[in-house]
Amino acid sequence: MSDQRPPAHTRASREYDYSEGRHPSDDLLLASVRQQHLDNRIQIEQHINECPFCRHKCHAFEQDGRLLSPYMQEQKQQFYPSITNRVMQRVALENRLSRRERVLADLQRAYKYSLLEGIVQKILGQQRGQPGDRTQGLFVSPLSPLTDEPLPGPFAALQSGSALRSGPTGSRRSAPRSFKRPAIALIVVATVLTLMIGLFASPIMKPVMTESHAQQTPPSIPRQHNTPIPVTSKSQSAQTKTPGPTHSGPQIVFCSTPSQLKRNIVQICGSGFTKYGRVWLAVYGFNVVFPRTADGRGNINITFTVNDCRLMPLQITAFDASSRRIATLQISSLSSCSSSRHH
Amino acid sequence: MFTDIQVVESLQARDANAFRSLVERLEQPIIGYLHRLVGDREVALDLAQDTFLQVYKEIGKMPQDLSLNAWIYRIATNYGLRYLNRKKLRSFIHLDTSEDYHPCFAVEGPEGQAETRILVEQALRSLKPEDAACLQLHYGDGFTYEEIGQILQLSPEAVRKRVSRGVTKFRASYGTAPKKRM
Repeated sequence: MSDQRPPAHTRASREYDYSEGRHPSDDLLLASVRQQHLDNRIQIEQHINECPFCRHKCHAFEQDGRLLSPYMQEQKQQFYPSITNRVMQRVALENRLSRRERVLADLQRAYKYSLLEGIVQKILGQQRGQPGDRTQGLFVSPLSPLTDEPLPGPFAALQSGSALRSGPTGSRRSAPRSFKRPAIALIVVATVLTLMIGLFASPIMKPVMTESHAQQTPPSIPRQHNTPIPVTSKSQSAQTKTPGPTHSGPQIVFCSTPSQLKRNIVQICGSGFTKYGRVWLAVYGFNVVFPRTADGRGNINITFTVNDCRLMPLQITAFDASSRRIATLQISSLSSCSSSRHH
Repeated sequence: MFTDIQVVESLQARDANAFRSLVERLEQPIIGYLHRLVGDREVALDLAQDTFLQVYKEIGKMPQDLSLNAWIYRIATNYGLRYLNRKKLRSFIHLDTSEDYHPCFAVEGPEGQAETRILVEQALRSLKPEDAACLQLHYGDGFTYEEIGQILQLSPEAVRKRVSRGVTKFRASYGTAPKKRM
């Protein structure tokens, strides 16, 4: 191919030359279809008019556009709850923060988007002694909360102040780079990590057990199964152990419909939580923490797909961050996992 | 109607009203963009809050050659991509927000429409986050390649390549999905 091009031609000049069997690249064709600015638009359009091969490609690009644009435009029609008041509250709070508190807030933000997660995962993976998990993709990040509220445990302790003596001074960064911390903050983070490992490796909400929770077995992280979990009863799609009827606090139950179960969808419904309060759902079995916000009636709902029976959640603990109460749900079996599944 | 310069000057003077009106004006498109990018409504709400907080804190550092909207989208994109990169760790679990299965969100019309929508969504999820961001900004928010280049700090040529790569990958993923194409 290259010997067909005159050696004196520069790359730019070759881009303008679509004769002798040369075609514009796909990105140029797509840009032309999408009416984007192109230096050599005239030549490209002329080529498209004359070349059935490129016309066919353009037609395919138009089809893609017809598929993508309506989908995205449809999503644009969604209405989201206003965040203005929450943002303004945070701005007001930001203005009142002392330097130390500002460092703390930065630290929390660093945690939210952080790179620390990988380290924690590595350490936890070693602690659990399941090196095969990661190669099989079974070990899932234990830390995934995305919220500005303080985490229960070490972060709450951090907020009380003793752990942080000083933070970065008024060093300011470009907006997207705020997670890069000075060395002193990293040292503090390392200390925090040590505490967090203790928190997440052990039952996650242990320090704030309620009476009802205390009666249940300690929520240790169960081993993941290499074989499908046998079904103990075919009459029920899922067998669960839920808090007793006298339970007055928050409660979570397994509420997947049969059709959802056929699609391996697990739905957990919760009630009795603080209205509009933050609820943390720790799913044991694949060790993920999901943040949720209760609705106006104190209900929560979480839905997820179990792609592999080995990842079936065996225990789910919901922690109401406002009232600091706990609800636990144990799932003994899932009928959809009784049939042969891919592993 | 204020110009960008007036808004930026007001924000730099810490004018709360100006900031409030900016958030009110941009919250829906920014949340929508983040929702489409990260695929989780609640996470998108969280990320949008962080985006606006960052805007308030860093308004003094806004590049002169960039429009206010592009700069805010840049911050939102960075937050979204950072979240997506972290989410790779959870690739075995597909977490759906509860509203995905709520009846009021069901797509009306033939079953095929809903199926197509799901397949399109799955195909978009299979893209690299950087390519997906380009596609979202171009097809979803109607930005030109030049504007996307400003937002993502890329040349228009790089954006052109990314969009093309994203569309090709999207077509491959959509084509391999278990559905007969029209």
